[in-house]
Amino acid sequence: MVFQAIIRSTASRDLMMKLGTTTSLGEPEPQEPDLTAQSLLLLGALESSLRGSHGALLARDIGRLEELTREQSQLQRALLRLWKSARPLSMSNQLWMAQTRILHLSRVQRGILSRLNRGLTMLTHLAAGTNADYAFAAAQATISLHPASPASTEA
Amino acid sequence: MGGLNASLAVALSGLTADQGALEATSNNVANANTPGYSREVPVLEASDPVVLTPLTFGSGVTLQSIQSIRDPILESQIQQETQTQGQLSALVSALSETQTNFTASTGDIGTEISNFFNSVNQLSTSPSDLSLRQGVLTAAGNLAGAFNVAANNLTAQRSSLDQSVEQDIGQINQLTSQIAQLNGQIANLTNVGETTGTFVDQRTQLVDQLSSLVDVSVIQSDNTLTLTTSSGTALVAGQQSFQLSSQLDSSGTQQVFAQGANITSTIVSGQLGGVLQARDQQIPAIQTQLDTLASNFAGAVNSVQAAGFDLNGSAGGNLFNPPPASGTGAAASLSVAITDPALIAASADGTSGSNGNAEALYALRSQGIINGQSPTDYYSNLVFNVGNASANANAEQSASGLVLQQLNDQRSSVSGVSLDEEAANVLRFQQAYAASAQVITTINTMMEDVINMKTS
Repeated sequence: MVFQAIIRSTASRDLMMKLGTTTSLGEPEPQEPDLTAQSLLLLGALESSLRGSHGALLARDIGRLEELTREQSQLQRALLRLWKSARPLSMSNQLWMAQTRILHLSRVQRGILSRLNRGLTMLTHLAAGTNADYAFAAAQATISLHPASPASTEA
Repeated sequence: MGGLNASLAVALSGLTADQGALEATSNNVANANTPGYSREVPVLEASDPVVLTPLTFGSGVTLQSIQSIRDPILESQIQQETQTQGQLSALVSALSETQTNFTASTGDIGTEISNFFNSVNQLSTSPSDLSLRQGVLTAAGNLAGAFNVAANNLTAQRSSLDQSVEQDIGQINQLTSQIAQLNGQIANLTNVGETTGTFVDQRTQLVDQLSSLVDVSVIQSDNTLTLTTSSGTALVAGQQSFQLSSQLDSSGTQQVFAQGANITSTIVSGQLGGVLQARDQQIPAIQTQLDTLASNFAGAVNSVQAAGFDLNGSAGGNLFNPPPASGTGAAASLSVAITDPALIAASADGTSGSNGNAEALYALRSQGIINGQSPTDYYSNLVFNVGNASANANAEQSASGLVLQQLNDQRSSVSGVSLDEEAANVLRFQQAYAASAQVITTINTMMEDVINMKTS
C-alpha cells in the first residue's frame, strides 16, 4: 500500500529511487503479492514510457526520445534489481499480460525506427541527386550523410 | 502614356484575376472535407509591361494558373507505407487464422501427444489389460485425427488465399485501367492549358488504392504517371494499362502473369504480396514442420512396435500406417493401422506379462526422435514459431499504422484546406476586387469628364 502511494504521488524516477533504497537498505525481501504488485507498477511505467517514445519518434523529438530511453533503461534496471532480490514464483495473468504488451511495444518501436531510417535513406538519396553513382547507395547503407565522391560530383 | 483605356484594361485584368482567385478559394472551401483533395492556390503574375521610352508602364495582372499544393516526397513515402500496410494486413490476417490451429485446446496436437504417451504409460502397468490397450488405440486415433484436422485446415487456408489472389488481380486491373484513363484526361487538359488539379487528386487516390494492393513504383514525367511493380513490370504507361492475369500451375495454385511472364515471386508488397507470402512461404513452412513431426513420430512408434511382441506372442506390426517416404502430406494422411487392441506390441519377450516394449514406447516421449528434439519440444517450437511470426507481423502492422497516420497528417497539413486561411484569402481577394472596381468607376468618371468637356 505504501508502495502504491509512492507511485501515485511521484514520477517514475522517484519510484525507482525508492525501490533502489529499499533493496540497498537490506529490508526484508518483498512477499509474493507485494512483489507482483511492485513488478506491475514498474512494468506499467515502462509501458507508458515506451508509448511516449513512439510519439517522440514520430514527432522527431530527439530530446524527448533520449529522455525516455534513459527512463526505460532505469526502469529496466529497477525491475532487474527487484527480481534479483526475489523473482515472482508464479507468473500471474496480469504480469504475463503486462510483459506481452511491453514486448509488443518494443517491437512496434523497432518497426518505427526502421521506417524512419528508411525515410532518412530516401532523403539522402534525394540529396545526392542524379549525379550520385551506384556506389553511393551502398555507401549510404553503412555510413549516413557521407558526401558524394568528387568524381561523381564532377560528373 | 497608355491613356484612360489602358488604365481601364489594367483595372479589368485585376478584376478578372481576383475573380479567378476567389473561385479557387471558393473551391477550396467547398472541398474542405473531401478526402484526397489538395488545396489550390492561384498563381498571379504581373503582365508584360509596355515600354514607351523613356517610361515603362505596367499592364496589369494575369492569373497564370491554379496550382494544387502537393509534396511529391511525402506522396512517395505514403505510397510506400501503404504498400507495407497492405502486405502486413494480409499477413496478420492469415497468420491469426493459422494460429487458431495451434491454440492449446482439448483436441490440439500437443494435448493428444501427451494423451497418447499417458495411455502408453498406463498400459505398461498392466500390459495384458484389453481396456488399457483400447485406450492406447483410441489415443493414437485421436492424435492422428488432430494431425489430420490441422493439416487440412492449413490446406483449406491456402485455397482461400488462392482465391484472394484472383480477387486482388481483378481489383488491380480495374485500378490500372482507371489510372491510364485519367492519365489521358490530364494530358489532354494540360495540352489546352486547363487546370488538372481535380483529376490529379483522383489519380493520386487511385494510386494510393493500388499501392495497398501491390508494390508500385511511380515515375512522374510531365503530367503523366508511369507505374511499374518494384521489379519493373509495367502496369501503366501513359494512357495504356497492362493487365495482370492468373493461371493455375501444376500444383493447382494461382500464379500471377504479366505480358506472358510469371511474376509471382517478384511481388513482395501490398495486399497481394502479403497473401502470396502467407500462401507460398509461411503456411508451407508450417505444413513442412507438421509433416516432419507426423512422419518422424509415426516412424519412431512403428520401429518400437516392430521390436516387440503383441498379446498373441507375434512380432509387432505398424501402429500407424507408414507415412509417405518424402514426408510430404504425412500429417494429412496419418492414420492408425490396427483396430485390434491385442496387436499392440507391449511385450519385449513375447510373454503377455512383459511391459518392456510399452516402456520403450513411453520412453519416446523424451527422446530426440524429431530432428533431435522430443515430440513435445518440437511441437512447442512449432507453436512458438507460429505465435512469434504472428506477433512480429502484428507489431509491424501497428508501427506501419502509426507511421502512415503521421504521414497522412503531414499530407493534410501541406495539402489540406485550412478554413481560417481561406477566410483570410476571401477577404484579401474581395478587397482587391473592390479596389479594382473602384478604379474602373474612377476612370469612368474621368472619361465622362473628358466627354463632357468636349461637348460643352
